[in-house]
Amino acid sequence: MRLNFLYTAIRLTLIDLVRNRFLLFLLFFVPGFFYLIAWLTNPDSPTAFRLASVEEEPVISVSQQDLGLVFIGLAASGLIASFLALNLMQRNTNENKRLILAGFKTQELIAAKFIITVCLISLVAIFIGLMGIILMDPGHFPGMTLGYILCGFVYGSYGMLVGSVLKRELEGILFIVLLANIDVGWLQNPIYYADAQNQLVIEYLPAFFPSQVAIASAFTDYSISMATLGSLAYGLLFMLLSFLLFWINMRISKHTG
Amino acid sequence: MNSDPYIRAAGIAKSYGKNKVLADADLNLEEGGIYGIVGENGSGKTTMMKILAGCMFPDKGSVFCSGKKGFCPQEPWVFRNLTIRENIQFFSRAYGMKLTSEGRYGNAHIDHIATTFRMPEYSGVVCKKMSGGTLQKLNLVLALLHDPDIILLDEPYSAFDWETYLNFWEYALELRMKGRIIVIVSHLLYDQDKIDAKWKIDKGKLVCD
Repeated sequence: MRLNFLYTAIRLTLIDLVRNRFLLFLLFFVPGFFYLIAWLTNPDSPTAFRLASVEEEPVISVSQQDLGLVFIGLAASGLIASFLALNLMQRNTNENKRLILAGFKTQELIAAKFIITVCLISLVAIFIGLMGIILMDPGHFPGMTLGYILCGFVYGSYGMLVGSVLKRELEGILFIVLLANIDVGWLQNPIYYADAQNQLVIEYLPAFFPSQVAIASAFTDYSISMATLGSLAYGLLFMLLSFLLFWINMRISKHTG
Repeated sequence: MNSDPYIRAAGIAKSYGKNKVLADADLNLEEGGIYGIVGENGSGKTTMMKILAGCMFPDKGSVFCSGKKGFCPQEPWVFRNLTIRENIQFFSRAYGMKLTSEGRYGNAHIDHIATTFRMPEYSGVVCKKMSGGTLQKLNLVLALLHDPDIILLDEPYSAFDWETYLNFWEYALELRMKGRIIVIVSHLLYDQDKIDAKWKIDKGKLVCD
């Protein structure tokens, strides 16, 4: 790994990415819009649910509006992260291959994408967390924001994987919206989860651990370490798979003889 | 420059599904010169060029080469959200070149080829807002940044204006004088008098014309 090559790849890939105005629009518009809808539609009455990621599975009672806001924050973080990552992987395939033909190492381009993804996801998640505290008062803001970051990491890695497999944007977006909508936007909601017929299926979905981190931190003092580790493992698995596919797609023949 | 650049392809075969594009194609270029590969649309010229460049693997056969390669693909493989200068910075880094703050692009050779191909600078304008001809010029300049020994050009001048087209051939002749191997793919080669040898792709094979 050559640091000056990595620096150039990070700098120019980031410039290329942030010049996509639609992505910037998503970044600022989606969280605000999502929060507004959740704030306007969820009642302020209390609701009780079982916290599944904690061994004791305690039943906790919280405001439906606050719960809705935490959930919508997770959905916004996951969706934005997956779109960013999809865009990063799908665009410039030929140009990246040309860079490798010219002398870049595949791992330098992969490292640049990894660093950019993790940094952008963290920034987006912190931004979403900060927007959230305008409307609610979470018990542990850093923990809740960590949940958003982890949701972004897991879904960002999923977006990278989808982008490595699918060449066209439309199919990629469909795959992202499909899973994100079912998982983080519906099944992980503890109100639904508490009465679900098959809870094991929900626990294996990507947003389970990050949503548990966010909820436990926002409303309780329980430890989030296991759920954090689970989120990291899920995200890393997706990311490693996506980088493996990227590496295969970027293979070149050196022809030296 | 490498003392003896060469590129040898032997027994190259490539199919897309049931469509056999190349079958046992051979090419052996060991001397500096301008070489043409012609053929009808879909005959396999671009496939052959991508295999020679190393960005596509053949189903069968092998390619060996010695010397720095420069590849200009048919479609401009340039970063559309970056400016011309940023694209040049990215590829200069890839080639391991150091740019200074002097001249137009920080390197005398790059400045020379940018002037030769009449490439406008369009400071601050991203490539996606530029004309097809300008992108084609940048595409070619990126292939020549590092002064390669073997230059693989896939229809490099289709969108050039007349003066740039003339400059292109003048530059190609200059490179031939320096002993570089230049392979140009085209379905139309008007300047056949400037070509040292020409191959036609016929039924998947390269046939010397």
